[in-house]
Amino acid sequence: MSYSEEILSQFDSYTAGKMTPKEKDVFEASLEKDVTLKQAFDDYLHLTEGLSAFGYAKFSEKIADWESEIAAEKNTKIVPLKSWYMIAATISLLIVAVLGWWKFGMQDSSEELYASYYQPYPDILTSRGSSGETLLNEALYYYESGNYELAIEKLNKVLADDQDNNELRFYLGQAYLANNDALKAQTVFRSLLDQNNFALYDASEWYLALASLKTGNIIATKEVLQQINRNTNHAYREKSKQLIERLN
Amino acid sequence: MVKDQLNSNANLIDKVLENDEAFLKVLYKDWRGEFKSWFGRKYQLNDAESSEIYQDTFLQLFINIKEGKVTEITHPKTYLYGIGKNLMRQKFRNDGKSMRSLEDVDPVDEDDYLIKLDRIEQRREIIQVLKNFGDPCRTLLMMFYFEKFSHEVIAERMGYKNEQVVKKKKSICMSELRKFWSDFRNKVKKI
Repeated sequence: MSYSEEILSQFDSYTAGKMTPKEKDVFEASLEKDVTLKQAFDDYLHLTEGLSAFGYAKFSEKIADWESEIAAEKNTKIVPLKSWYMIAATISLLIVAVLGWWKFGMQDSSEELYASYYQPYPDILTSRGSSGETLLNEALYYYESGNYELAIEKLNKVLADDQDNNELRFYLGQAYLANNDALKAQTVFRSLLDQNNFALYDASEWYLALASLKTGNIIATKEVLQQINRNTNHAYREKSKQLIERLN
Repeated sequence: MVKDQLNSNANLIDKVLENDEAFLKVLYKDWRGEFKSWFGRKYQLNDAESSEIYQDTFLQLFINIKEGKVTEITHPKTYLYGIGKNLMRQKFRNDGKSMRSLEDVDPVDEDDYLIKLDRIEQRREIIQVLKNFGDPCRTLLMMFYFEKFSHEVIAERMGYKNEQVVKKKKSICMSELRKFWSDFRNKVKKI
C-alpha cells in the first residue's frame, strides 16, 4: 500500500495532535478495523522516527567534525620556528603603526574591559525542576534572580554548617562579585585555588582575574591571567589570552 | 557574540529549531572548555572521557529541544549541566561505579534524557536505508519530518511551485521510502 496524499495527511494530523476529538475517534476506529491501514500507520511511525534518528545521527557527525576542527586548531597553534621571523617582523610593523593611535586614549578602561568579559556564572548545582525549600535552593534562587544581597546572606548561612563546601564558596564569591564587592570576591576565589581537584578551579581562577580587574589592579589581574595562560588545558585560556592582549 | 544572543530565553530553542548550524558550532566551542573542566574535575574524568560526555550532552540538548521535551530554557548552561549530570548518573550506573559524587543530582526527567539516544541505536536499520535513499526525496522528507518546516516553506526552499506540489511529492517519497525499507528488510532476512 502506498501513502496517498489523503492518508498521509491524516497520519500527519494525528501524530501532530491536530485532529479534533471527533476526527481522532473516527481515525482510531478505522485503525482498529482496517489491518492494512494499521500496518501502514505502524510503518509510518517507524519511518518518521527513523527520519528523526537520521537527523540526530547527522548532527552527531557534525559534532564529531567540530571536535576534529578543535583538534586541528590546537595543532596549528604550534607555529614552526621559521615562521616566527616573519610574524615578528609583521608584528613590529603593526606595533609601530598602531602604537600612536593606541596611546591617544583608545585603550579600554579596566571597567569597560571588565564589563565586556564579566558574566555571572550560572547555577549548575540545582537542577531544573528541583524542589524542596532547602536553604541552598533558596540561596541559588536569589542568586539566579539577581538578588545578590539575599543570596549572600543565605549562602553564608548554609556555609556556617558546611564550611568545606567549595562549590558554595564559589557561588558566594560570585554573589560578592555580582554585588560589586570585588575585594571580598577576590578573597573567596583566591582561597579556592588551594583546592587542586576542585571542579570549579578554572572558573575560580578566571573570576579571580575579573575581580582583580574590577578593583582596577591591573598588575594583579595580569599575574592571574599569565598563570591561566601557562595552563594549556585551562578552560578560560582563550579568553584570558584575549584579555591580557587588551590590557597590554 | 553567542553570549549576547543567548541573553534571550527563547533564542537557543529557536536556533536549534531553525537548525542554525553556524550558531550551534560557535556555542559548542564556547561552552566546551568550561564544561570539560568542570566535569573532568568533578567526576575525575580524563580528557577523552570528558570530551565524550560533552558530545553526548550537547547532542542530548539538541534532541530534547527538537523533540519538544523542553519549551523554555531560562538558563541554557544550567540546563546543559543538568543533562550532563544525568548522563553521568547513567554512565556510573552502567559501569557499576560508586554514586557518591552524584548523590546530589536530582533525577529530573532521567528517562527522557537518554531515551532518544537509545532510539538512535535501535534505528540503525532505517538510518542505513536513508543513507542510500536518493534526493530530492530524502531532503524533502527530512525537511518536513525532522526540521518541521511547513509545506509552504519547503516549496519555497526546494523550488516547488506551491504547497500542493510538495504534498503530492511528499506522499510519493514516503511511499518510495516505505518500499525501499521493505526491500531492505527482505534482503536482510535472506542473508
